[in-house]
Amino acid sequence: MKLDPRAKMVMALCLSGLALVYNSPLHLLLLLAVTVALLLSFRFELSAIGSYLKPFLSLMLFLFLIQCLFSPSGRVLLAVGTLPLVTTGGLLTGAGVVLRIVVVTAAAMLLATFSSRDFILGLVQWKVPYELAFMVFIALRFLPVFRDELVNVVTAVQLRGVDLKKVPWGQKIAMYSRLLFPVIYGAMLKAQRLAVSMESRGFRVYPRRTYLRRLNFRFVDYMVMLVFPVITIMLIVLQVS
Amino acid sequence: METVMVRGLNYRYHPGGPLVLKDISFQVAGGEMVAVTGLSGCGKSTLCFCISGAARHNRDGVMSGDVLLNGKDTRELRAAELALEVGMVFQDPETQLFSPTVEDEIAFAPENLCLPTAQIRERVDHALDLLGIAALREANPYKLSGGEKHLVALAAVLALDPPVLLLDEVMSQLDRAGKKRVAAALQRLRDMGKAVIAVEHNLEAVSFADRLLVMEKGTLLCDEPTASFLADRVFLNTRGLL
Repeated sequence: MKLDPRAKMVMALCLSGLALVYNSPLHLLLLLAVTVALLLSFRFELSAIGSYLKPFLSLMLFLFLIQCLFSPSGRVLLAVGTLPLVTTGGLLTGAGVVLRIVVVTAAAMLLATFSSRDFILGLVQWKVPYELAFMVFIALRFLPVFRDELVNVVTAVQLRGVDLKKVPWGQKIAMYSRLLFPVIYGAMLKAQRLAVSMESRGFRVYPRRTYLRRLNFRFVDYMVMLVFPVITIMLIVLQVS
Repeated sequence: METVMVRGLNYRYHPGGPLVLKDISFQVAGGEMVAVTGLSGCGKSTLCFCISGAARHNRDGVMSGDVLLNGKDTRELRAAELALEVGMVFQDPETQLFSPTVEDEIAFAPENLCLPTAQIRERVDHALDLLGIAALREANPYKLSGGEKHLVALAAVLALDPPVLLLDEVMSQLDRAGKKRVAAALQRLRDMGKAVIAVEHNLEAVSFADRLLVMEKGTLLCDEPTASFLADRVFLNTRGLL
C-alpha cells in the first residue's frame, strides 16, 4: 500500500497516543496487532523491530519486575510470609508497560517506511520552516555516524590490548568519559565541515528555496488523515469516561 | 578582468602562529585551468580554503591580502553568496554528503538557488552525465566507495554552476577510469569558460592544466605553463615532485 508520508506520520501519532492511554494488555495487544498489520501492508521487515528493541530489553525486564513487585492486586501467586511478591494484577500491569514500549516502537517504525527526503518534504509542505525540518533530518542522519565513531574509538582501545570485560566498572566509567572527548570533538568537527559544505552549496542564499519533487495527497491519504484521528479521539474519550 | 585574483595573500591559523601562506599572488582567467601542487603541508588546502571563503569559519584565523572573484572581494560577501561565485569540492567527501540519494545530493544546490523544477532536473541530469554516474542516481551516497563519493561530491558542486571551481585532491581516491572521467569533465568545464583550480599531488592526473603552480612551505615557488614545467625533470626531482 502506498501512502503519503504525512498520512503515515498521523498514523504513528495516533497509535502512539492510544498506546499511552491504554493500560490493559488486551487493548495494547490489539493495538500492536493493528500496528504490525499496517507495517506488513507497507512491506516493512518486522525483524527490524526486534533489533530496535534489543537495547531496551534489560530496561523492559526491569520495568516489568518493578511493576510486578510494586503494583500488587488481584490473586497472590507468590508471597514471602504475608508480603505478596507476584500477583495477577502486578503481572498484568508489568505486561502492559512492556507492551506499551513495544507498540510505541512499532508505531515509530511507520516513519521508517518512507525516505528521509519525503520526511523533510512532508514537513516543509506542512509549513514547517525548512531549516527546522533539515535540522531534524541531519540529526537523524548523523546519529548512526556518531554511534559508529564511538564503536571505532572503543575498538581502537581494545586493539591496543585493553580487555574491557576485565576492567572493573569504576575504571571503565572513567575510561569511557575520557573516550567521550575525542568522539564529541570529532562530531563537532564533522558538524563544522558539514556546515561549510552546505553554505558553499548555497544553503540559505535566498530566504526561500524550490524543490525537485513535491508530495501530492491522494484520496486515500485524506481518508487516513481523517479516519485515524477521529477513531483515536473516540477511543480516548471512551477510555477516559 | 581576471576571474580569480589572489594578491599578497597571507594566512595563519591563529594570531601569533606560523604563516601558513606567505605573500601568495596569482590570477586565473575564465576558461583557464590551473593545477596547484607541492609536498604535504605546503599550504595547498589552506589556499583553497582562503579562495573559497571557507577560511572565515576558523574564527582564530588571520588573513591578509586580497582574494577577488569576478572583481568581488570575498570578505564582503556572505558565505552563502560566495556559493554563487565559487564551488569547492573538499578533500574528504564524507562530510559533504548528507542526502538520502545521489539525486537529492546533486539537487540540493540548485534547490537552494530557487531554480524551477525543470531546471533543477536539467542540472542534475547534466552533472550525472558529465561524470558518467547516472547509474548511481538512486544510490545512497553514504554506501558508495571512496572514489564514487568524490564523483558525487563533484557532481553536487557542478550542479551549482559556479564560474570558479576549486578541487582539493579530488583525484586522489579515484581509479584510472574515474580519473579519466573527471579529467574529461574538467576539460569540458574549462571549454565552457569556467576558471578551474585543482590541487593535486599526482601531476600526471592534471597534465592537461594550462598552468602549474608549485608551492613550498607556504610560498608560491613557481607559476609556469604545464608543458614546460613537466619537461623540467631536474626541477621536479629536486623538489620531490616526481
